[in-house]
Amino acid sequence: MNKKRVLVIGGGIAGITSALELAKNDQEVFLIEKDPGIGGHAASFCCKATEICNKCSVCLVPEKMREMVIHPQISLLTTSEVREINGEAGDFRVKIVQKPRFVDPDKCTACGICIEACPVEPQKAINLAYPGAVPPAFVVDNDRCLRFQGEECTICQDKCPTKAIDFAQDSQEIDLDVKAIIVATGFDVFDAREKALLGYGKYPNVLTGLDMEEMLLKEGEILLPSNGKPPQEVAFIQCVGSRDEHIGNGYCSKVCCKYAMRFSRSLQYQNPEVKITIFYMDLQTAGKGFGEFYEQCKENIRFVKGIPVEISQVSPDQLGLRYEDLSQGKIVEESHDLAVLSVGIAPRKNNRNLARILGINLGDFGFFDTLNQVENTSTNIEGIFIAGCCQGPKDIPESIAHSTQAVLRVVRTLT
Amino acid sequence: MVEDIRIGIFLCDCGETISRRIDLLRIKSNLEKISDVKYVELSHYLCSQQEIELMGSEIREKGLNRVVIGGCSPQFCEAAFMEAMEKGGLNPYLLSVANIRDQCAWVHPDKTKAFSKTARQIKMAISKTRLSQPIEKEAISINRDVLIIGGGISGMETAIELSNLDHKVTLLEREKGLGGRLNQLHSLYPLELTPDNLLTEKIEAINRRPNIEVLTTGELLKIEGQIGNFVARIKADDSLITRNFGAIVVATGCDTQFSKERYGLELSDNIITQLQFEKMLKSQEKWERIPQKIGFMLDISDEHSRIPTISALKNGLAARRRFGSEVYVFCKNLKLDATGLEGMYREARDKGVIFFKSGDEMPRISPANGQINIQLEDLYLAKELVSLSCDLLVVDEKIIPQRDFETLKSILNIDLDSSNFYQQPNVHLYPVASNRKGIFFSGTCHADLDFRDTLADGRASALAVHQLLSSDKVSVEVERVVVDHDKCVLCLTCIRSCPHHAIEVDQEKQAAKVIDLACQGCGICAGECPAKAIQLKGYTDDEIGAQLEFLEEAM
Repeated sequence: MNKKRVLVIGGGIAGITSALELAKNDQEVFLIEKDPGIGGHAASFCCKATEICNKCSVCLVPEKMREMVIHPQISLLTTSEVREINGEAGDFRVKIVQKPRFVDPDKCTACGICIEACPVEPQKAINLAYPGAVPPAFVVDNDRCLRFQGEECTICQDKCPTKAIDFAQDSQEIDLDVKAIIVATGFDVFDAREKALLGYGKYPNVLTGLDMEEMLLKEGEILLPSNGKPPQEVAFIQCVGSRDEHIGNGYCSKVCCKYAMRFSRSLQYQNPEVKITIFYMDLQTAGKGFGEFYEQCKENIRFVKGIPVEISQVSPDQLGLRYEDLSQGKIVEESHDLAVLSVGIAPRKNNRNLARILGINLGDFGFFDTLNQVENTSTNIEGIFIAGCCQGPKDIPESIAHSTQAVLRVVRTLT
Repeated sequence: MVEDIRIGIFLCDCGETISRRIDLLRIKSNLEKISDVKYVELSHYLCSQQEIELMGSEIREKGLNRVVIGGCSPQFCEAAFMEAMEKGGLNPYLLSVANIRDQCAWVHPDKTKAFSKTARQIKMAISKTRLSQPIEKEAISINRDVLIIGGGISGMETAIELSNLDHKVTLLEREKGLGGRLNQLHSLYPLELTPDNLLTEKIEAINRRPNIEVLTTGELLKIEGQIGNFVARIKADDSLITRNFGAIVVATGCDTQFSKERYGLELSDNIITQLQFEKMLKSQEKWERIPQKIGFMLDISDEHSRIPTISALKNGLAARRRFGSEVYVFCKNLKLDATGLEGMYREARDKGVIFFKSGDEMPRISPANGQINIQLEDLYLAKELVSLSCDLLVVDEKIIPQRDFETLKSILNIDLDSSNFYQQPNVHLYPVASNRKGIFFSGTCHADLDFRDTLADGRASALAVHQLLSSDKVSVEVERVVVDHDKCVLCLTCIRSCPHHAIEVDQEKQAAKVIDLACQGCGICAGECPAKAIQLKGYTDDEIGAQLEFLEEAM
């Protein structure tokens, strides 16, 4: 059998699933990830269970990450990106550029001696990419490290007991021969600053869905950024960056109605007194078991049709939301102490560049295009497939199913 | 011979997140005093590759025969530690993990209490591991053939993909021909492909493949056996067939139902369902009277499915295009969370389809003189009362399980969700697995899917089956669950409570027998058995009892 490998670009849930499924189908895999750790967006999401599981599927991610990293048939290259590609299906030659992380993940045991030694204060210049990072190896923060401010510091390198740190490291070019490629580069979270009137980045108590995920994951509860107290009146604003032709995003992001409702339940579980309003255009309640969940939510969540146009700060801890009350046909302003912008899924800014390198087409809105309307993992280039949110918005189970489908196509082309 | 227990304890600091709260060095020196503990090691990141390698060699060098880990949740790293044990020549089930990170260090602010809880948990793990028994694995032969129930688009797609992966497939369809619901559709807009073309293409693909057998006018009567070796009794075209399969895919699709109760009216010549309208658009016959004003009513029979929205957008556009009729859509929430639907909604508005969105108030529908008057409070017009009359009203239908879902459920022993669709709502089963190993789902029989997602689901299902049956042997844990024949009185409690249908009666020994291939090790049988005849290795009564002894004791 041809022992040449399959290349998976991107280490988010779609890339991880693709790599794992390929390996289970007896393929050798290279997975490359641009960041120092794998997991992508989904690794920063948090379980939204209340007294029962609310089916957010976030728990599937660390499970798969762990399984993937120890799989003997998968080789992982972090801080790496594709520079160039030649050849054709069955025989691609790919040039990868690996940026120096100055720490060899195979040697680093994450013992922490380097952190103690690092003279940069208060936040050290060497650490894990994120808490619980996979692989569990440190990375040098170029913005903080003294070596990148013109000084000749080698303290961590000298102290490292396993000689894992090497500042002589330079960007390396790696040539890989692969027989097929799965592109799983994921998405960008819509930048809520683009909707300037909603005050994100200006008022502390305006958060995005992603901020909520990270806060819940790290702190275990949601507290107001302005005063550290639990929120009392929370507004969720749907379709921020989705279904919005003014900014060129004429599509539904599919995940935001669901996460807003799950967060609402989670907040009410934390504090049963909290008042929650969800401002929406059209509620997306389709999906296995979700209609039932929505009916339960309706009992103690206020749903308002219409999206606030402007958020202002009325007092240090209070926000004013201006929206059209459709039932009266009037503009009203009401106050909340926390506004959560349900930001959607946007195409990666780098997609255009990667599409050019790989020779694949970009489709509507800047996601990667598929070969035709029914083969939604195949591209215009034979041997190159796409998986997950780089093709369009998907939730976690959909990304997993889509990756499985891409793997099926790879396996079929190769046998 | 009494085994000489030699325990090795590996403590992990998880990047100093544990030692911040707990003095692991003190724990280590306390543990070293226990007589059968032969080795204690403290590591910063036990799960790193070097540490795993090191663990294997320590096990071998120190002659350890039991391993206790103090670190993170077994969910994360247990598999890696088991691998290390195998490298060290030890049965990987002789392992016990104390989750001192998530259950002690990360959650208890009081250092003294956290310390004593950590000590107790590790002691519990030690006392458990002393009683651990090895579990062996064995390769069992399996059949690689697959039965697919349902010859609609999802079943056909799964069949073709499985055939490409070199599986012999039997495609069982209850009607005379393949295609299911696709036969009733007039278009798959915005796809350029027509249902007829797609169907012809798929049927030809199936006919070309010698390893797909199609059984029409067929019915599954009975299933015996388990994953790898199901025995199916099938009736097809009046003949009875018995066949063996390694796996089964359920692809029976869904049905639709007009809700007379919720609408408060009957169907008639000018009040028709979406499916009826679809059939009229598909038929080549001339329309007697071209409808000038068509209304589509949504969110009454079914508020939580995408299919009625897709149908209204597609057929509303078709009516505009074909007849130039005025088209109105009445709804609460359009379901647009699938590929291309927002674009279709935009196109419909551009082509003159008018949408009215109401709140929870039900629109008033009153038929009179061949016309249907519709009155509703439009939310976007400040709840102004809108009054319109149409000469054709197309009503939505609820998406419901196919009519004989219960028969198949009891033949296959598979679980339903609360709406009676197949597959219990458990994220660990998504996308296509069932409660029984070797039985999978494909298409709308288990989820609300649009056409493209149905194809995707069919493919996902094919790969899941292939992974299970990729070779003709599969490695299985043998006798993980042990039945004591002397204690078993054949009360059948275990057989009734096993969610995976993995227990049968051993006629020879007159006792319950666990089928290793189908068992998923959940332990429900062991918990339920009134005679205490069943033990699950790793969770035997002795192991649990031994742990409880240390629950209260301080170190």
